[in-house]
Amino acid sequence: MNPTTRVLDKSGIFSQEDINSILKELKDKLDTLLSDPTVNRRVYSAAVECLDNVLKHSEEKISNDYSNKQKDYPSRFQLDDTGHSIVIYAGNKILNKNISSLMKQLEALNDLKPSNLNSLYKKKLLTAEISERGGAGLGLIIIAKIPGKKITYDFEKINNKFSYFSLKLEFNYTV
Amino acid sequence: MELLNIESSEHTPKVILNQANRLFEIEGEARPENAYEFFDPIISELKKYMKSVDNEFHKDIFSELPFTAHFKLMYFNSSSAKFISDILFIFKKYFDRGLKIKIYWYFHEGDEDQRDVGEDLSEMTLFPFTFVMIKE
Repeated sequence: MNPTTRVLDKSGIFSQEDINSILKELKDKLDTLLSDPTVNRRVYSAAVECLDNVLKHSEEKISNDYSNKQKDYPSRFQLDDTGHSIVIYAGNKILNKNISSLMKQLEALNDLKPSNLNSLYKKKLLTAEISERGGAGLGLIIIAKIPGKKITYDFEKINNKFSYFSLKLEFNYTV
Repeated sequence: MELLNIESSEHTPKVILNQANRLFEIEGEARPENAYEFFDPIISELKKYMKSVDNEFHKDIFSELPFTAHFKLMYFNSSSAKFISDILFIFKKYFDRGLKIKIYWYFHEGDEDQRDVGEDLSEMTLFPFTFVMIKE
């Protein structure tokens, strides 16, 4: 059994420039690791949506309430190569009050079959409107749709106001 | 005359709207920080152009040399997807009004997802696309 290698390990407060540089590095790594262009594109697409999610929805930049404890919870983006699959880990701080709606969305997406996820995506694309934070509400559907596996997620309570939201997505080397 | 000539960047595509050649082309990667700010001027210019050619005179001209739209998007994010479908619906509207418009959707050899995305958009807009494979 091959040991898992951490290919990318980024954390902090991400700006658009940071994301551009992470994606550039990711592209180079994926070209070396993956020979299947479809899987390569899927991992890249999921990474873009995860990073976009961190940029638009992380409460890191929005909050002025920086305690030492919160500094221990930076946004993160990691990529592992398990020898047979690529695993993305993404995380960011969110407001506790947003957990239940996010959890509901994730559960609903995890319950859908791939064909139904595709129908939902097309339906949402027709009705999507751009939110104040610049999202079209399609990112999570894409994150759920492309790996062909259920999203693994977790909420870790930081304090009464914030929690840390983590996502794990796994892609086999071949489709 | 080029009504639009936007250079590509690391995260935004090259966009051309050429009146003389009856050509729209979007090429590269589309994941702008603010999709609205990037796509809104493109959509406005395209709507203005399509409105200006929505007449019998141009229908005759387009029937001889159709307007072609080339989508060479190697990747686009979820926010951009919404605007790309908006662009396609503009073309569909004027196609239905009798202007001869052809859509070409490009995908890399072996990348079936990229072709599938085009097929989904073609199905959604009820507009038949011509698919073009880019060989590596």
